[in-house]
Amino acid sequence: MDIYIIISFINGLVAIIFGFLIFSKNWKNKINYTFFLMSASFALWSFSYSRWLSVNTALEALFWSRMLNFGATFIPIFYLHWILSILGTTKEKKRILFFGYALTLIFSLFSFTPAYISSVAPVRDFPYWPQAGFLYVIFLVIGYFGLVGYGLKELIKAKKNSDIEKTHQINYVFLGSILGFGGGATNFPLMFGIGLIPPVGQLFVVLFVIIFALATLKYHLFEIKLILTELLVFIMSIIIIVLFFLMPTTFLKILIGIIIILFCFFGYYLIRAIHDEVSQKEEAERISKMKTEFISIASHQLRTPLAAIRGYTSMLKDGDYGDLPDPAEKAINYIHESSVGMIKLVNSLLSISRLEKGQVELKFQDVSVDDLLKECIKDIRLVAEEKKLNLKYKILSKKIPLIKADPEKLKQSFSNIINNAVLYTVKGGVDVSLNKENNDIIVQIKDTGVGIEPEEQEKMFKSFSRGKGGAELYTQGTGLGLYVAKNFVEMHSGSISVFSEGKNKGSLFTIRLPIQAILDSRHKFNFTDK
Amino acid sequence: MKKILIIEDEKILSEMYNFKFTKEGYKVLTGMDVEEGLEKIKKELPDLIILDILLPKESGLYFLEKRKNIPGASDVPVIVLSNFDDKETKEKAFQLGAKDYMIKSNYNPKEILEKIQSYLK
Repeated sequence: MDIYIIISFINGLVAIIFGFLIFSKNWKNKINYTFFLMSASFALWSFSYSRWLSVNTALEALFWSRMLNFGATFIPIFYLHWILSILGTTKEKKRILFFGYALTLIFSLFSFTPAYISSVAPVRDFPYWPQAGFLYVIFLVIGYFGLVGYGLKELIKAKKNSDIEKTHQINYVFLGSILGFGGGATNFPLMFGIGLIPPVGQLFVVLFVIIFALATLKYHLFEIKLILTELLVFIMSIIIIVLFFLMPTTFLKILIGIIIILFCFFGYYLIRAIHDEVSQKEEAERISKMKTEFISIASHQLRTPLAAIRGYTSMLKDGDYGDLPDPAEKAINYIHESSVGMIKLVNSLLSISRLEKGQVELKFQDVSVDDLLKECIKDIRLVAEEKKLNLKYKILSKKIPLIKADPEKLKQSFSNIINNAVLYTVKGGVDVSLNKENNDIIVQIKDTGVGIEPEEQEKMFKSFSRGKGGAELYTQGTGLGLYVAKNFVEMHSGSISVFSEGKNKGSLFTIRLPIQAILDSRHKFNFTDK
Repeated sequence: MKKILIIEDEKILSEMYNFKFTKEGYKVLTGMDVEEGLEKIKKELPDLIILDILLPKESGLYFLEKRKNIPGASDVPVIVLSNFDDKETKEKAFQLGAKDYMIKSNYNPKEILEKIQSYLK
């Protein structure tokens, strides 16, 4: 029984601390103050629970058991109000809330009457367990299971339309709800004289407040990881300390003492390591988000003046403003070409910002890789001919099956690599081949161009990364083509790799696409890996 | 003479398209925002509308919606010409009856003119 007194006291303490913490963070916010109200009623329940188990007379026990149930009566409605505040649907659901509050008010008015708690009676090891009156049964059905169940239903409904972060947040709230209300519910059978199972759920109830507090502050998952680690270390410490006092001999006490010291030492380093990891990841995420937002805004703003430069110079070129003197015509051509180049760059930046925001969606259909490669080669053939390069394409396998893919994205990937091969090759040629190997389709692009130094090969696929040799040869490259190609290929569950013996020794790019790909139409990228 | 209404708040772009289309023999009307655009079509129905999305006050989508209250205006083809390249906006524009959604910077006035001609055939 003592353990229940201690645990309930800890529950109350944690609830009130977290409640105030959240409230003080921003007390005007509806999510925060509803959380505070829920924590306060939770604390009243817990402290009264602890007190009720400590008293020695039936009369005192009856008073405190009524007090604890008075606190418990408010938990479901504050919980529901808090859930609806998180989901932003309090206005839509104001009738339900009104109904819940009215009902709670009625129950609370009867909290200290026999209609709610009729008496106290011995159940299991507890001498004074409160016994439910008829009103309490109604509270359990409508208040406890009804309001809480409605909150859970709303959570599940909201999950369908939520983004990944929100979905995780909802998952945690859901887990907390099950632990908290499920744990709390283990008290109820005893209120009807059924003592088959002890109220062990009481031990989990503390997790409910902590998990909810995290979700309220819209903590990221990493922070939840941190707090859960801290909590684990805390619980383990309590267990070891209790063990210390329970040990019968001095020798065992010393042994446990050593374990406590070691545990504190490792526990501290574990928490610190996770804390550092959290800070680093958050910083990386913040920077990446800022970068993506910046690119997106800058690109939109850049497009308008570029449209004007492109438009007016094209009209000057077309003679819409009359004939131009020769030198001017050349100058106008340069301005026009530069503006078109700049527009391509802006478009690439926008593609990347979409990729990094996870906004790129694939439209899958049956695709012939052979057809796509032929189209890519047709598009660049003129440039290759002008450069007197030998551009060849061959199919090495007899039968190449169709694959489920987004033709536009796949074509862009192939075309980025084939175009690079042509642009970065001065003499010789480019060989494109298509093959089937086991369950994969293999596309290889081999050139006799500038090659890539071994130390550069890995970073070639990062955004804004360009090989030294390539940058010298073709100054207008953006360093985005391979990055986009890699992401698109990976969205098709494929892979892309490069091999080059070094500078001026050509390159070989290999794209591997599974015939039976695991299709993921909305791919979320982990920026920190890039 | 076919009439084209350009709803565009960027003066230099509006002038550019106006010049090109007028030169090719079209009568061009212009509006700087949704309100002006709606007033123009109330007075005189054009044969085609070029519509920007990011406009002062209401967006181009609002124009697409409101034009339905003006008799005959729903039958006038609307080409959205905007630098705002957002999937949802595009979908919404098509739902509201836009015939095309072109990114301004990706096309020369001549190419836009060809597109217009294909709708005015």
